[in-house]
Amino acid sequence: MASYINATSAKNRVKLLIVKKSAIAAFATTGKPVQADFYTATNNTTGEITTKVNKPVELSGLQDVTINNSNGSFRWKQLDLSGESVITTNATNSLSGNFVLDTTDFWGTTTATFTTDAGTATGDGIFKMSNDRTEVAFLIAPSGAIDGETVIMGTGFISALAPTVSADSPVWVSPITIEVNGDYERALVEAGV
Amino acid sequence: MRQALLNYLTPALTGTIKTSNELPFEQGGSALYIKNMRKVYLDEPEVEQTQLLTTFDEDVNQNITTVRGYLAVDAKNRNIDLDSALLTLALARIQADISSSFRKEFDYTTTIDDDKIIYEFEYRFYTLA
Repeated sequence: MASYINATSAKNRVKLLIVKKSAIAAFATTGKPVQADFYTATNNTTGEITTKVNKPVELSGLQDVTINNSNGSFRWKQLDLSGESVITTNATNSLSGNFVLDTTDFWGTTTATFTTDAGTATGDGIFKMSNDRTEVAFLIAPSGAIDGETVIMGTGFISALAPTVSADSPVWVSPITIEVNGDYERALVEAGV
Repeated sequence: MRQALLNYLTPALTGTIKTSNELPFEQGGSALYIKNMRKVYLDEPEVEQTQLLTTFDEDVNQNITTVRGYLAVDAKNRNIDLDSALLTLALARIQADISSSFRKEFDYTTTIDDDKIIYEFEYRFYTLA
């Protein structure tokens, strides 16, 4: 029997974490984000991320997510072959989805009187990071951040925000795209990360 | 929400049709609104929770609070202020102090029972759960 990627139970729910790339101190040496840049402890029973790092936005209200990995291609014809030949070229990677706007996630926690998170992803929120064209690092856990499951990471820029509300829907919803800079990085969640 | 409706309706209905604070219970096998004609009775609210939007974490739900009301009047001699009373009942949907609701609905049906005409009306208020 096939083993499907489970995204429905409480502990396997899709998670998307976003931090500012500039917050990852080790990026200059590693050149890529690692799990420890987002969290250092998760709960395998509940699926909750118990210890977060670098003040990430754990995007709530996600309605759907699409991981786009679209390789380019170059085709040519040869007289000695009946079919075209092909080779792949650089991929266009992006992460897209829709989410219900949560006040804190969208506007950030930083206010005139609360400045503890200022300058972090949590403090700035999704809108400011998009508006300021801040480079971000992201981690998506397609089947939860629990031991043995695969997560995908990368860096990029938030775009395609288009918050909308209608008379039929009393809450704001918006699409979101992270235009990925370079390749995705795959990793397995391990105890203690 | 029942009380908010009564707070609006009680001073607004000043003609031959008035409100009652009592619930429309039955007394001696007969509903109070049949016994006490020309009085508006509002029932206890009922709440139904339905899904508004699905998300990966907690869904966005809405509560639909339904308040039913009853009014019986003489079918032979129509009250002179019946039309304005019905208009007031309809206006209560938006005039009552229920600010948390993002959608408000009102409708009514009529039935004739012997020489009485019974208005059964329903308010529905939608709020985020």
